[in-house]
Amino acid sequence: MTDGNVSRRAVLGAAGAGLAVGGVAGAVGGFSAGSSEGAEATDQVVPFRGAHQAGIVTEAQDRLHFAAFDVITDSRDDLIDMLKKWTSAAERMTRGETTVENGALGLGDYVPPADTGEALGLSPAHLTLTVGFGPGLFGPNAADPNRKDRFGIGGRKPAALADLPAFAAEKIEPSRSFGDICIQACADDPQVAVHAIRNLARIGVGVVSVRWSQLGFGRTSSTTRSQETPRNMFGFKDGTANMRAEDSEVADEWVWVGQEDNPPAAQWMTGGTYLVARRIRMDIEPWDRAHLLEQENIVGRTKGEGAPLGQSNEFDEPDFNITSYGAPMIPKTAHVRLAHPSQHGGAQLLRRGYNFTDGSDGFGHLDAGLFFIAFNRDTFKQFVPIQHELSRKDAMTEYLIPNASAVFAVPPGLKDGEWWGQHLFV
Amino acid sequence: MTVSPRVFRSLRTATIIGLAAATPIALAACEAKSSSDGAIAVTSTDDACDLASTDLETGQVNFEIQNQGSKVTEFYVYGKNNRVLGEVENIGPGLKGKLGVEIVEPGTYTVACKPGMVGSGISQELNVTGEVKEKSQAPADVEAAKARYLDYARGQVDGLVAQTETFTNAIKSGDNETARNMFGQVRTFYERIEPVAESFPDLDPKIDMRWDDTEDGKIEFTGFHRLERFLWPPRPEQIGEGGDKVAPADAAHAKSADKKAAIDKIADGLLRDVKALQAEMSKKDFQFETQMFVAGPQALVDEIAATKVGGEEDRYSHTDLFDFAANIDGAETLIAELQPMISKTSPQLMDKITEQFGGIRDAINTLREGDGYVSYDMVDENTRRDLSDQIDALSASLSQVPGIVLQKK
Repeated sequence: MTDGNVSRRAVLGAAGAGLAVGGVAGAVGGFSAGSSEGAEATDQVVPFRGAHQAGIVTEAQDRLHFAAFDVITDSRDDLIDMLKKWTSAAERMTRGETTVENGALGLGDYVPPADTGEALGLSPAHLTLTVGFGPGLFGPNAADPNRKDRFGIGGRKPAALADLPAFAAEKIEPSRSFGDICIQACADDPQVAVHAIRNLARIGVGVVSVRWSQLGFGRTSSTTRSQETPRNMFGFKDGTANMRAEDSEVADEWVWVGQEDNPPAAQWMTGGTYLVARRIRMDIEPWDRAHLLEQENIVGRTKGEGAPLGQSNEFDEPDFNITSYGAPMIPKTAHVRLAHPSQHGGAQLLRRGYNFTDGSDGFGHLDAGLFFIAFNRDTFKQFVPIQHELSRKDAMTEYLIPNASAVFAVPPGLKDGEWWGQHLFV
Repeated sequence: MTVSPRVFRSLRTATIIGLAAATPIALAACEAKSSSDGAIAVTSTDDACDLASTDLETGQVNFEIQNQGSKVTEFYVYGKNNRVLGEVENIGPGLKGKLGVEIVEPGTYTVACKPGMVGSGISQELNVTGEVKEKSQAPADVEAAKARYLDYARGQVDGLVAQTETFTNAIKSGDNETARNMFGQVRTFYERIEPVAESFPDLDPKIDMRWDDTEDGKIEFTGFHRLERFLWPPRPEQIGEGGDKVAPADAAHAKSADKKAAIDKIADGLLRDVKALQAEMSKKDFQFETQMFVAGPQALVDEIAATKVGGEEDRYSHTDLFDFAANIDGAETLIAELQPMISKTSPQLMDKITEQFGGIRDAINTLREGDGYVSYDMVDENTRRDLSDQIDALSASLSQVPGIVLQKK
């Protein structure tokens, strides 16, 4: 018996037969490539290949499993071999298939199944897998300042890839920060996202080792106009002013790395982007004891509608000049004011974060918050200055404890037959 | 029954292997055609065990047990000397169970249904005709390798008995210093042959149980680790949460129970148990499952991953690296026996395994001190992490071994 009897695709084939006519929804940008059999062309599959990697401007799914890996081998061949296997498995999984053909059940009685099987029978759930390379892959980095250029790619390090500087009021824990490679798995179903990371980790045994990982739920950003603005763990709408996938000109200016951004040796990054990941624990219990007006003044928006203070609708432009009894309606220290593009020469980020809850700490306090993920074209011109401003002045900082931090260069999307990292290594 | 976590794990492995023989049918259960696979229908009720046929031929025999009684039932197939050839348990009322057994010799066999899962059940005789067949799962070269390995295992158990005698004598004579110095070394003999020792579900816990297996002291804490605790009485800074810490109940128990007279009895018991192990293993008809043999290298390496990398195994003495090295010795010996079969099918895998063993061996050797190893509490987090990564990678390679040497092509 093969996996075919219970494959995720077979389930879909039955459910989605009538839907296939509508074509592939959710394809964003670029050419649609890869094989596309009839049964895959459902609205549950996000195309794996394209000009840009999926999972960036893709409409945000509700669940996340993010993992950062240390590369533990010095063998360039082993690393390349793994990246090829990863690519093949990742593409299959995004189509709702097992990591390899018949991987879960059909390989024989005395062989550990190549696919762990917990996604059998589940839909592809809009799974996207996005890969990024950290500074440590190229040599010295925050996790290992004495690291050598093990793979001979130091000269190909893109200009804007470097560890983040220290910010005020953070408590970075190295054991859940940094990393040589990251995979962001997003899906509508947490089991599908976890299955993907688990299987890639397994394929990578001996070559990479999971340094840290994070589960997320409840996307805290909208990346398309069709999505409603979600709420974060403070109960506020988050990401109202976020850029949207439809704003392709904005994305070209602020997300995608251009040819002019890098010297010839780092042109493999053209069409890519930089991913900033920050685990921001929220001081939930004190926040819950802050009165409503204080909460709204800290955020700079109303809790119900999400309107900027002084306005009535969520998408009204904030007016930072309005005063009441001589004081600004939106306080000088309000989050929305300090984060607003108008305060940063128009600089924007594509935010794609998730809420997280990792149980409770030893004091009975919720270990919860925001797993912040943002994509930008140049982290040191976009994220870093904004974060410096926020960490020093934002009233919300009092309730936030950033305790993990990482940055990765996310290469562009793959054409047919290409594998993750091909243009960096070959 | 005392079942330490690792004994439990190995028993579970045995169960899974037992099921593996039945896997094709078990899987077939999800398909509609299951009833046409030639299985013998067994109907179990509260007072009967009816078989559609009791005359059969040698080879793979499949049973499909329908429980039409009101109690949970189980079904057994017995061979010579009442040895269990196969069993399926926990078939609820109205449910079906499947069992596949390989019967290689003609003769009379017994089957039994056990409604209520107690007593000897309702038995029936099976009349098996046909020619003698070779067991299909294990090729002859694997069986020959196992026989050679058993010689090695018997040699190790002889060493274990001799060393344990010296060790327990030292304790009884009050020479704790000598006992402490030889503790890591004595255990080496046991740790090398753990897959064999673990096939004795009564002896293994007595010899190698940890406090965690005692249900907070309800079950008598015996064996090596009880003596270890006496030799290294828990200090306040060792008490706490976490695998390599001494639980508060454990420390309290040590304070009240680890008196010389009680410990002398434990020492006597340990010597008695290792001698019993030696006697069992030297019997001519000693049975050691072939599947456990081929899965042995990985089982040993996973032992390290499960309890040694975290410092849980020898939490009082921190002599974990002795055990660690001994598990690697044992796994390498097993692989050396299987090497020709692995190389024939997959020279690449064999090369990789050899390289990975070498890497771990090098890593352990950097932790040598005198004629032993550094105390495991002096091994820093990064080094532990690095060892763990290497062990995981080796285990992944070794997990391919049973498929290569057993799988029918």
